[in-house]
Amino acid sequence: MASIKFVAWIGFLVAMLAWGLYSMYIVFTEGLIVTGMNNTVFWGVWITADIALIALSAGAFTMSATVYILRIERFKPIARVAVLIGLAGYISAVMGLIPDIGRPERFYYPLVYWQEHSFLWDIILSITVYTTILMIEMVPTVGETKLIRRIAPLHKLSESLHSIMPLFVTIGVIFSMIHQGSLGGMYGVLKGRAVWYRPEMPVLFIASAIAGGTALIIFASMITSKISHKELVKADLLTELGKISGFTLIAYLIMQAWDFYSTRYSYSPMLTESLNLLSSTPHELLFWVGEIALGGIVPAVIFAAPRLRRNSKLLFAASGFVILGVIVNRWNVNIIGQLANYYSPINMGAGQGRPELSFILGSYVPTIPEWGITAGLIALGLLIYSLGVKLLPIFGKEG
Amino acid sequence: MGLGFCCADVPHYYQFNKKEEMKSVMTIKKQIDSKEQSKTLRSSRRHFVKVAAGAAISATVLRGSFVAGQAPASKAEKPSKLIDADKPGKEGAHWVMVIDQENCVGCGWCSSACKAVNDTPMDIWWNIVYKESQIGNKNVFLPRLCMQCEDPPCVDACPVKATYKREGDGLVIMDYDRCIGCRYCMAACPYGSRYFNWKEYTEENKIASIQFGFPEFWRRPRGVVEKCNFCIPIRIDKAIEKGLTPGKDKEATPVCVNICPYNAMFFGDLNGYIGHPKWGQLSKDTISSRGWRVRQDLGTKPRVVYLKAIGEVLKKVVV
Repeated sequence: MASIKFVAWIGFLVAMLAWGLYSMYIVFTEGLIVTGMNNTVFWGVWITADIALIALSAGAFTMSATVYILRIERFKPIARVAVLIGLAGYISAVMGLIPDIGRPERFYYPLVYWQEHSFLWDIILSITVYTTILMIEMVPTVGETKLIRRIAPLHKLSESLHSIMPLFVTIGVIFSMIHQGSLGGMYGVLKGRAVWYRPEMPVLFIASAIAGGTALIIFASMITSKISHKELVKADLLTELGKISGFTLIAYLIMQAWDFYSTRYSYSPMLTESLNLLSSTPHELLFWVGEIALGGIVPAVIFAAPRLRRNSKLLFAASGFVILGVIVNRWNVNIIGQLANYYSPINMGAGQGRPELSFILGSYVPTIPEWGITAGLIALGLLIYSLGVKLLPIFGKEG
Repeated sequence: MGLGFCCADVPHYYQFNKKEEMKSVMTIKKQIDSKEQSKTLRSSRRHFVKVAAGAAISATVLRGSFVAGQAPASKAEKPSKLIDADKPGKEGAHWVMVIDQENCVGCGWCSSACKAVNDTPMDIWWNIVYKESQIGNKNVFLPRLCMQCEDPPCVDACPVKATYKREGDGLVIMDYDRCIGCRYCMAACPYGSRYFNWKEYTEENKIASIQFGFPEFWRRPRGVVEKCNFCIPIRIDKAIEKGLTPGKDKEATPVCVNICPYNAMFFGDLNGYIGHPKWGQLSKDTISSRGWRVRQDLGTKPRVVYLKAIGEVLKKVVV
């Protein structure tokens, strides 16, 4: 049943995962000194990968909300693939947090010692709840497999979940919204780093997550259809998803522009300088080309114009661009935000008639173990998705 | 003693004062001969500042008057918890550190003593002396510790309450046995006062000496964040139990304040006594007239107060 190509693909992913696990072993034995992180840039590619994975998994909550809360039934065929992508993304993201914290054996502490003021606590708690809910949402799909059908009590259990599923979905949507926003808020409240110190970060994060998550559903569905030589999801449904992603993207770009101009409209200490850093070399290319042009305007135009989005190749390319844009955006927020460190001795006396504020630039070069774990995380997500599509009735007739 | 590496700006200063240094050393030698060293130092501050400008060379000479610690006693068993997290501290106390920038010449002794006694790894400085600005051709220095904010951003950041404000005196403390090492507090701190233990600290503490003191605090494990704690576990808490007054008694005062040879650091309770065990009480009028706090625009309300440099004493020091 399994083709050679599929086995080779799984083998490749397992090899990547093994590299990731080996890197994790190095990190656990030698400590975080093996990474390129330092006291100025202390969140590296892992956190970037985590927040990008979580953003791209937002398709799960978007589709769940559309189908179960807004009751737009025609999107039901993609609800399952959305949940699968969500689950894959969240499991990878949670795994990425384990090596990143300095004391991995204390990973459960946020669930024991509560600090309600902390955005990070909020995120950890709601990610835990939401990942559990995604697993519950997967139960009916698993229940439909031949294996479970044969075991009567398990099958009955999964059938009985159908009736209370809307409740779980609603809780899931709430918790998902909370932490998608809190991820932005986590950066937004930091007084120490001016690029991050913007209260509108949660809104920007939610908007870009909805656009990116929807785009990933299009991308994954099309690529899976192509490989299995079947039209798994109807083309007009994907086009409609493109419309959702596109209009969210337009809203996001408008908010981004407001944000950009309102922070530059008049001089505000440090914020203006730090934003100048984003739009000046060497980060200019990433911001203007990667995030705004390729990741924002180009796909927004394709998605918004009916004639363009009906072209399947353009739809595919545009969704790929949105995914790329979200990843670049998270990189910019996380890494560049830390590089622009305005904690500097000459800034100490700000507001005291001392010299004007200016920032110092940090430096960060990811090391091989960091790339190893990042590759392992992505491989884990792809592995869950590939095996899920292969073994479970994700694109099944019931939908 | 290798003072140069504790503060990037110090070597320039010493180069600048090389001639003066030689003169100072000669003066010190004369003083020791007349066996009036401590008396002279106390009576004439201006003279002393001049003398101590040659600190790098005269460190051995001054050993008699500025010994920070005694030789290490046999080390006790490592406690199960590095910090007693339940200790509330003295009720109603408002500990403040006052740093007089007028008198600070950036010698970096406070950094070194802190490093020696609190036993921090080579790349971690709980207290760093920065060059802040200039008055004329004279540098104005700013020793930066943990600001012990009244409204600390790091406490709101920590997801596990590993860093918290004490109930009694409101000092900001790290519980190293609870910290998960997420480093969010480092992002939140606007002063860069927090450092992460990227690796296990196994090397010898090279700065520990009779001059700067010997380790009194337990080493923190790999993977936790650490910061200055106003010497709470090793000084303030112990002193309160014994009935001593921080700022007045040497045993009760943070090590950086004790070692300061330039009459620049003071410690105490804002509602009570603020002073230095050697230089005596600091009048509150001085604080209210020249005091300022770092990054007041952020609204964190630091407990470390700096006294603005006006350049009078400094002009006399520099040739």
